[in-house]
Amino acid sequence: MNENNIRQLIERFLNAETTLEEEQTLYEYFQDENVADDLKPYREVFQSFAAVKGIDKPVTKSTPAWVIALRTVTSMAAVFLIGLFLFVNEETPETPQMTTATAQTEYMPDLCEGSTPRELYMCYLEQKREQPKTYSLIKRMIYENEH
Amino acid sequence: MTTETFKDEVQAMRPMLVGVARGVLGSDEEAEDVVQDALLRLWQLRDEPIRNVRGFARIVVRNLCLSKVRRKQVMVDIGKADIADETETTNNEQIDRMMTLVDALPTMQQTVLRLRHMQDMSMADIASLIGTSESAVRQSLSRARRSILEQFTRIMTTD
Repeated sequence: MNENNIRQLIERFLNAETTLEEEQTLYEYFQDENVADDLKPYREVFQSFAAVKGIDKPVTKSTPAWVIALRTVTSMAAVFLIGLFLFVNEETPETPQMTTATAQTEYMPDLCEGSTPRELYMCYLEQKREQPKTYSLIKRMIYENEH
Repeated sequence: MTTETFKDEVQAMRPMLVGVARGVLGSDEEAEDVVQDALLRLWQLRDEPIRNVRGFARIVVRNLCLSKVRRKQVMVDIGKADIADETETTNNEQIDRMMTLVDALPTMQQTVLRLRHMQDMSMADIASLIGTSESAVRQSLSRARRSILEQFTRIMTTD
């Protein structure tokens, strides 16, 4: 590095005008033993600045494996639950047979009773198989019961 | 800032600052000491344009704690001096000497210098963290660096 450049850098350094890269240049120059005579007085201070560089930088820890695993499982579970919700809400489009008179007589599904969510689910699933639009019929039933 | 507003702001910040100190130092008593020191320094800077007093206080507390920890570590290192290899000792000596000088700087200069040199922060980041202008940061950093250089020169010539 040109000695005149170094002298200019030192001046800028003392005016707090240098960039981090320029400061690094200064530190590296003074690590070497071969320093111009008039610059020798600066050696100790710049070596010391080099020694303390970055010692208080907070250490960024990488995320532990178990956190990553937990996040993956949680997001997978969320996707599964959303999919399940959409599936249960699925309404099959009306088939032409539905317009016949027999189909018009209201098929009233039974409100399922079960002790576990699984029982309820299986029961509604069966009813859904027997009659499409069961879910919306049940919803309407519940709505009418409450109002 | 008046004495009243200072007291109010301080009351609000104190628990948070003690928490920060305790996190670094582990001891309640030491944490209280450090926070007291920090608040005294803040009081001395009450007329400085510092928009982010909370953030600045936090940094000052953290730096005071790190100084304390480092001074304790020096005592441990002195015991190990003969075992450590020469280059490491010189390096440690340089660090200790520099940090002793940094610790003696006025609070604003010390804070800015630490953020720049020990945390590699950009001037813009330092300014926004403290809540002052970049030119104010430059001025403090310039003064700090010149002060340190002057003291180094004095040490070198008296040796």
